Amino acid sequence: MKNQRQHIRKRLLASVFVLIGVTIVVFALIRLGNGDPAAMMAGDLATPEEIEDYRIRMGLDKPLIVQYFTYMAGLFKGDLGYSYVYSMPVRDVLAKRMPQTLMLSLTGFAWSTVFSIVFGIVAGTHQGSGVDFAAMFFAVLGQAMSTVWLGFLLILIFGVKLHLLPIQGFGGIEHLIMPGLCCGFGQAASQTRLMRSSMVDVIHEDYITATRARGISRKVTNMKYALRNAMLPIVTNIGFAFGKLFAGSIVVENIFNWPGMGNLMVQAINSRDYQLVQSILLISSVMLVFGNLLADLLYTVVDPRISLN
Amino acid sequence: MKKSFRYPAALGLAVIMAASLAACGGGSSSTTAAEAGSGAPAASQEAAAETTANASHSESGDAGRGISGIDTYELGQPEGWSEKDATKKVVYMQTQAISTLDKWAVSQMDTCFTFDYLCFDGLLSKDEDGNTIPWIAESYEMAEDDSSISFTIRDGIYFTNGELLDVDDCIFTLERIRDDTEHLPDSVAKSWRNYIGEIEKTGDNSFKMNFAKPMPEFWTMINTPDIQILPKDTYEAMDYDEFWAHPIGTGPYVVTNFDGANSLIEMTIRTDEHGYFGYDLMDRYTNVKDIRIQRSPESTTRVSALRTGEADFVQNLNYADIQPVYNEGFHTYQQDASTQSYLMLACGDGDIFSNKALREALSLCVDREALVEALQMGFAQVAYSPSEAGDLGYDPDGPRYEYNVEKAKELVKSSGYSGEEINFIYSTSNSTAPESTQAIQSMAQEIGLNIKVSPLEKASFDEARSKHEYDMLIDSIGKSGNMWYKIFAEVIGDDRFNSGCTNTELLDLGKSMQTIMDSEKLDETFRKMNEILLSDFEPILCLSRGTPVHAWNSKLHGIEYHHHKIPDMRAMVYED
Repeated sequence: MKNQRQHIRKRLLASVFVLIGVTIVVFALIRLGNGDPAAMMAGDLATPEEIEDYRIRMGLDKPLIVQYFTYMAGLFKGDLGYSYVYSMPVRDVLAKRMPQTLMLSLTGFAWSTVFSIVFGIVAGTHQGSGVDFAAMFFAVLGQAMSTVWLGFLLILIFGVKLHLLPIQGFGGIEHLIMPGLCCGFGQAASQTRLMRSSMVDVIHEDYITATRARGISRKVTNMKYALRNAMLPIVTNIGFAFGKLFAGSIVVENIFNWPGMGNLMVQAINSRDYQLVQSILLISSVMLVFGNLLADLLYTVVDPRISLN
Repeated sequence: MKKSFRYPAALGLAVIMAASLAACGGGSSSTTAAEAGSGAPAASQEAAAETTANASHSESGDAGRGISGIDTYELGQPEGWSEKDATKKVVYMQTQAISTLDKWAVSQMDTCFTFDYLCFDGLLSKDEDGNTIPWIAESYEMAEDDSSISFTIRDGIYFTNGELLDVDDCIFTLERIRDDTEHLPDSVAKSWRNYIGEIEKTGDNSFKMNFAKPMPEFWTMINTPDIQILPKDTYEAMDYDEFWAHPIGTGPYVVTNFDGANSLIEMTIRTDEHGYFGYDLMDRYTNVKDIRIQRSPESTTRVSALRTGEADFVQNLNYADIQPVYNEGFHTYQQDASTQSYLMLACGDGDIFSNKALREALSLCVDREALVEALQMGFAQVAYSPSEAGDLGYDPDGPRYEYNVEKAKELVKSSGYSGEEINFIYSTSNSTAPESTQAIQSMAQEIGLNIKVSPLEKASFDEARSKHEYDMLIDSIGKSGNMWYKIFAEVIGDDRFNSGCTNTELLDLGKSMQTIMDSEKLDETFRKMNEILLSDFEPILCLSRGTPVHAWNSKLHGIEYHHHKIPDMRAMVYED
């Protein structure tokens, strides 16, 4: 337990450096790219003087190093900067969008994780059966199907044809069903395939055969001895998936007009809203780092051979 | 796989494919509103036959193209009507982000104009045909030398907070645009700021605005809610952000919720004792109590929302959706041209297109009619000049672009062009550009031009344009004010996009337009410029004018566009 706490502390400390690295990379990349945010804000027909006026207002006339340290100083005080597109502090813009995206991402993450693990285990332990075929079919279909196509298909069937669910916007639980389903679909498919193949691999190991030879039931063998080992690649995948889901809802949010960070990210990049883009990427990085840390901790739970020492 | 599962598997796949295909046929032209379910409106043909106690409704339009035509529903104000009688709700889904309600604070805020119609009023307005009519100002008089204009303000107009509008409010509004450089950047406010001179209060109900310099766009901007009259005392007593979170105007609706981060405005009709003066003035009314304006960027989602009843009015249909939506009984409206699309050629010294023969060849090889028919499905007009019917300088019998591939080939041969690569850029934010660009590239290839197409993300496109890093580009300009004025006076006159054009006669004419208010002189200058454009083919080649199509529930009446691109939703009536 002591080792574990030490490990978490080390990882958290390392994460701080990773995140500082992220701020440098993001800050540099966004400015190395083409496009002048002042010109974007000033509009198509602005004169050079009007663009310069915007540049001064946005603090872009200062040297890059000064801009970076101003941003970092603000960051350490919890100030994420100011969005000139939304005319409000970035923190306020994110506060209005982040809960919606978290809700959507977590819904997609939760159902895809539970579904894929259960479906994958059943398919793996019943190799060649109808359930196995269904799992493989779902895995191929889910990975081949574009989120855009799936989204519009759901809208047409459950919204336009059957009038069962609202097709857009943010509201009650009913608004969450289709975008949530859409958000986790690809992840569920790939993870089902992974879980199934991992399970198939493990149950063909010698130690499983030996366990069965000792008269232990198939159910106990699978659940007690095979599952833990089969879970290892899934845990790694879940860690990444958690971070990816947060950033990966851009398409879903656009289709279902879900007022979240994905929509915001697209607008922010298009309008070169530097501070907003930086903050969104920073939050995505935090999620990814957190997801990986979570995966590390879960490793020790599912496989005691792995020591955090 | 076990043999016993092959057949069920094949059957399952077939069922899924069939279900998908059936679902994808959601926009089938044979679908009627009744079949679509209770959320959809009755077919327009049925609605046309309906009459109500004080209203009749008929539509005649271009059904073959999926356009409903003019809505002739009787909208006169019933006797004894008041705003308190309004009970309905309308959801309007549009495409733009709405980050602030003060349109002078951010560029390109068309939605703010829509909102301004509902919450504010201007000094003058437009009638159904687009003619200028008195509004908050009951009379106005322009000085003979166009150096000033005098307004006399109507009595008895109240803001929604109960304050009586007076001449100080009007003066304050104009002065705010002129002087508030803290909140209103030059690039946005310049369309008025640069022209507003001294403002004199000439009486209890009158004032005179002197022009700092001639304002060519004055008559096309003063009759929109461009200058939304604000309550001086209230505005000054409040913090800027506080006021614009719940702005107060003289219009028929008040804001109940504005969420800039989520691009959402919710409004309810004013029910104070004074009511909205405009309804009596227009002899119109509304039964819509609540209006919700929200952003929905995906066209398919907007149309689906219309079909399910989640939206009552949606902006900008995809061309492919127009006919199905019309067939399902929704009202479809094709507005006047809202954008002018053109090719800009880098034609300065040393540029490939400094060669006139090559410019003419390019113009000759572009089949503009085919572009409009094939890519915009006929929902656009071929543009021979930046002006459309109703604009200054529009000449229906004026010179035309020619389409002649053989002549173009000869010109290319005679030009000395030896296959140098031509860099053709477009912005990926321009939804019609990819197809148009490819089509033009292919047309140009036929006459031997070696065009390389480069899609650029908007900010990169703007930068390449400003740095002259292109040989040709495709772009469009929106109609906020006058397209023709912006193209001639700014794009050409100021060479804003750095084409390097050296045609001094054209450039001088463009610059001279910036100081002309007299419409006859503007008209004359425009014609001269257009002649030069069509003989010298620099720096722009006009392509087409987009005429977007919008749709709404066929039971909803009274939406007007006043020959503009902004919907006026003040006097909507929702049939029961």
